[in-house]
Amino acid sequence: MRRKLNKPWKQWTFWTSLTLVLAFALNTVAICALPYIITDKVSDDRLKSSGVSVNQFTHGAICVAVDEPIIEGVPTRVDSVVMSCPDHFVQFCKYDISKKPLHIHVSVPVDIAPYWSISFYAHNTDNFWVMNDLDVKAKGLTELNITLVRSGTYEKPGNEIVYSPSGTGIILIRTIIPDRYSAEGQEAIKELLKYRAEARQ
Amino acid sequence: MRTAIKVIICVGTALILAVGAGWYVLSPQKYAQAGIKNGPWITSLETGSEEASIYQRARIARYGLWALDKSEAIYYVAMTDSDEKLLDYKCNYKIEGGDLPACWWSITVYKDLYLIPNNENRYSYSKTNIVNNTDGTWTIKLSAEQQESNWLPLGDEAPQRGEEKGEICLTLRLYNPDPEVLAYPDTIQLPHIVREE
Repeated sequence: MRRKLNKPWKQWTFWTSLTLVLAFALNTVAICALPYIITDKVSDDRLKSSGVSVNQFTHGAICVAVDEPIIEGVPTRVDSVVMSCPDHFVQFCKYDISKKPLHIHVSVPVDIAPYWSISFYAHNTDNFWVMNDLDVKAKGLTELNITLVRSGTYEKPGNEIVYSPSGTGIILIRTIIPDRYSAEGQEAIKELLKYRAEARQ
Repeated sequence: MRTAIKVIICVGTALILAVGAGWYVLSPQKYAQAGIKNGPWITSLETGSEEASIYQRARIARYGLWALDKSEAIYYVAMTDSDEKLLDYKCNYKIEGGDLPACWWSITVYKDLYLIPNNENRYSYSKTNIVNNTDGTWTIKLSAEQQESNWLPLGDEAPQRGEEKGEICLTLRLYNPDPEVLAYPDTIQLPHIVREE
């Protein structure tokens, strides 16, 4: 009699526990995976729209605009990135250093903008390295040569060496252009496009 | 057969629970609850950081993809005015402040997380283009109706049917923040957001 009463309870407890454990596991996996999924989706969209490939800055595509009026629309609801900054001009590079390091050369517009930085993001969106205009000025530089390698690998001294925790990720060069969607802002962007941002393996 | 049905119900229920819990922890309201509060402004020092929890990292990927680490920039978000009433598309606001503890700062307005189209091409005010009052403070007018100076438009056309709704939020970005911002993110002097009657 006792066994008969306990059996349904045991079954309920088993299936309920299994459901909760499974729900927790699925939720945790999804939450952990989300930054990777968003990074891949947004970076692939950017590469597609700019016509550049992995390990290239979206500089080549917009360089064409130097001699032409830039017709740049304000981000709309179809854009995958929300809460974008209207004062940022961003140069973007999706990197893949799983086989070879990446060598980056950038000219720094130290006196054009109120803020400039080059920042590196791991595949999971962590910002693991950044250098800004104040750092560059403090070193007395106007150009940067950076070698990006995987953590745990050896690279001979020379360039600034940055160690990435993941084989793939994102590099962003941010320049603040106040009112970038205004006529003055678009003129400032034209001037900015004369500065180099190159990557090669 | 009965076991197979139980497995299907178990997996289905787990999926629904997982999605529901994910929706909840990634909601803007949960972001607000999990952040550091300073008046109407909310921030997180985990933003962009390798120390971020999996939940915070997912929230940042959703609402502030590729945000900078706290040493480089601090992002404050306000979804309410200083009286803790939700920002309303149909109301006028004054954002009052002074110089902020950072090399450069800006305040941007969003509706449903996107910039609000307007004929002025005005989406933000910053340290560079704000017009100061005579005492060095400044006032930004947040309104759908044209204002004299420092006007941050909530759109410049009468909202279409269905457009009256929508969540308004402000983002305050502090670049190269002073050490006091990192030390006291909850007590530093930040702009007041005052609803005008």
